[in-house]
Amino acid sequence: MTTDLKNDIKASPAQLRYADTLFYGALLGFVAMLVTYALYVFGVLTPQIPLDEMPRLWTHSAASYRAAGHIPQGWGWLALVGKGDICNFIGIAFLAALTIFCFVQLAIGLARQKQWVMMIIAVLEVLVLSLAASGVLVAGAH
Amino acid sequence: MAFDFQRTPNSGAVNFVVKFILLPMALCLWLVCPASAQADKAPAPTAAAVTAQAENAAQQAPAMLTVASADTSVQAAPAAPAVSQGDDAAAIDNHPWWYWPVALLFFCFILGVIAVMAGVGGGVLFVPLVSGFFPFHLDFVRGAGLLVALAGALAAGPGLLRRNFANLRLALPVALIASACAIVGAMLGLALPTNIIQTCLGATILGIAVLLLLSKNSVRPVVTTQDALGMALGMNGVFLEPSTGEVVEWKTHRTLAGLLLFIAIGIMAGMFGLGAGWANVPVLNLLMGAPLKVAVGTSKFLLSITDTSAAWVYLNQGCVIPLMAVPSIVGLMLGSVVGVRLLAKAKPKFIRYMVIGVLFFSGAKALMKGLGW
Repeated sequence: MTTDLKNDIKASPAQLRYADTLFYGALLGFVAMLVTYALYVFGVLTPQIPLDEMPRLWTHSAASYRAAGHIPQGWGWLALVGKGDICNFIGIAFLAALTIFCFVQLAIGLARQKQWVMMIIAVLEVLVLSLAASGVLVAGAH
Repeated sequence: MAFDFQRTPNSGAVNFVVKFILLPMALCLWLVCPASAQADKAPAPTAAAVTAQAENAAQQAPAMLTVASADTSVQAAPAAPAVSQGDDAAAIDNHPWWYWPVALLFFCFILGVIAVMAGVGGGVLFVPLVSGFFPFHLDFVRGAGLLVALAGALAAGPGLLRRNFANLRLALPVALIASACAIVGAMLGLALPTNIIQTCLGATILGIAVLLLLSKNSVRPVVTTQDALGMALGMNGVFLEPSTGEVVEWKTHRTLAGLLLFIAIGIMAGMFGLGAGWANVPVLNLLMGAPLKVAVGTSKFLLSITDTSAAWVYLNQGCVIPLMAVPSIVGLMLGSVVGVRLLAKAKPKFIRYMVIGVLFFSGAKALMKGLGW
């Protein structure tokens, strides 16, 4: 086996860095998710919507649920992060944002290696994911 | 003809699967069927009245904080659900609040076990089965479904990347297309009426079941010449086959056709809250010619990108209820861990055909629900 082939078998340094960030980030996100869930269901933090009301709300649409619980769209939940149910979004949002962090790191790494095509794709991906995360894309409710 | 009642080598594995997987699953389905029937019977005018009441409450609610706004008048009062009056006439669920989340936890655990053994993603099973047999609205089921698929991809991604079974060069271009289209799909899915989404979901699930039944993956597709687009994007690589120690060089072809198909895959993933593994693998493997292990690994990694973009749309629209999303994620991931360990003992082919049967059933149920039958 040639040296080039041996090197190609291994994941690239950019790929390994992505893997590491993903691993530790996902671990942190899952722990945060479990901790906030425990705070919620064991009643340590008062929820925005009482637990007993949930069975009546989860059969209706998201628009009805938001209206009934006064839950804002987009990032407005940050203002209610002290509530038991809303604080769960910390872990969930972190897991959802993890890929964005990884891609920013990847784009920087690709730029250093002068892999311009891949770098441009990575930057575009960051923009797409950031647009989705921004909360400006609001669909009409059914 | 004499019957051989001797214990066969495989009967132990089959008994195990029947006793510890199929029977508990049947029990869970039996438990949740009454709620499914109740949800089906909920009268439409009452639901409309509830929605109208909730919308009126929304109009009268004080201004909410937005991140960009300087005002900080946030109403953090406990909710006084406007739906309470409408519920008198609606089907009433007498179970305590924790009943369905706990049922979901165990149901998703079994789903995770079966999904691994059948070689399908948990996401493709989650949405049709939970929407068909649990009382949650389809909005929340789709939001949770995306998070479930995302969580699984985030957990598996690092290992696949390190072993080079998930290839960044293959993933990046398709991920860009799929994730952008998943946003479109998510917005469409939230804008369209629920019955249309339910009908389309049913038809899609039936199509997936047919695809799983008929598709034969190719372990090492033969790609003689790489096309110009694939070459420009660097869609080629090398991986070490662990079972044989063989070094496998691969490259892709039909790149443009593959990229175009990922438009449709992204839209469907976003619209229905399904993980897209059922579509990613055939496109990467059968159409573009990536080896099966690379296709499966890259597909799993792709989900972490595609589902992220769609999940954000659902999250920002309030379509994620942590009370149901977290048990779903935890249950499915624990089930996947157990499923990997059981894989050596069970008969994957039998499980796969059983899962395809379940998909046919749940797809038909969703279709009928959407058509109002």
